[in-house]
Amino acid sequence: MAESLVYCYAVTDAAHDLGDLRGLDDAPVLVRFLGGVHAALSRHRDLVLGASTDQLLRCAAVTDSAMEHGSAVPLRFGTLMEEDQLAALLAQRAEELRADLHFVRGRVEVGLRVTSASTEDPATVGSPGRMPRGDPAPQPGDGREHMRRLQRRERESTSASELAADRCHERLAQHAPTHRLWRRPREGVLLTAAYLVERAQVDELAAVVDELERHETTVRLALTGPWAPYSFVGGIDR
Amino acid sequence: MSMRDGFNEESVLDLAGDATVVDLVDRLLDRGVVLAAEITLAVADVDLVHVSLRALLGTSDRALRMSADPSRDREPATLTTEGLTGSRAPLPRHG
Repeated sequence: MAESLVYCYAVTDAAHDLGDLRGLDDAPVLVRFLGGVHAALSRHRDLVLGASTDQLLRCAAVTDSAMEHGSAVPLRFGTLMEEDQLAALLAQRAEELRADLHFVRGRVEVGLRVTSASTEDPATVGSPGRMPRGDPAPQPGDGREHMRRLQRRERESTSASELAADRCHERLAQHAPTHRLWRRPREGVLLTAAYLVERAQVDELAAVVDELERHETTVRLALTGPWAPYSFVGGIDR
Repeated sequence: MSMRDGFNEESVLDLAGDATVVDLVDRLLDRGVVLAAEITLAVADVDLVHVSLRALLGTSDRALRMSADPSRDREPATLTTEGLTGSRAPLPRHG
């Protein structure tokens, strides 16, 4: 049976294959001109996507490789379809995709994740209103006072760490005018942000984080990357 | 051959110890260009993996530091069950 399905990892400005690269299901990764753009893809007879860690890591590796061979616009995980359908969809979006390629050319994404340094911060131990670990169970009769005290402590702690998180982001944003910010993106995280920078600026951002870590003691910082520019493509408001 | 058997909750949990994987999942599943929403939304297990990793993030004390060594940027990411190495090799955070 013919390999009728294609999985598309990224749109790239590399007009040639990406070396001996293997993608999902260990299939060779090819670069093909489809719908007016170059697409990094692999062909499959049968492929079931399950977002396994292996699949996610392979997709990331292909996108990284595409970025190293030139500019790359990552596609959302799960872009698996018939080749004709892919060509039609790429053609519909070709102008936007070429604009994205131009916008991110020569730049990489660096991620910031800020969590509270306090183990009592509700962002760290659970959702607001939940009992922090280790607290004694309230006794009959003192429930309201206990809850008031707990809520006050949470508010104070949260407010200080959220302000610190914002300060950290603002410092990094001074070095990276193109950025995106998510406050409280999920339980346990105060803030995540993505910065689109020249490769040569990566060390600069790392140095800023080093300095911030010395002064901002209420938060923990994690800088990740360099990533392909996942957060800066797809018609986002720039 | 089906890739569904590639989904292995245990390996997801192991990887979640490396919080950078959560950032990877965010990017692959929430960002990037959506060519056809009805296709990407139909991917099985995505929500399950996403929720599992997010729930675990708060339990991970292992903060990460991006590798700032430019020479590593050109190394392709290596696929291992321990997490990403290569271009995004995280270094233990000081302090």
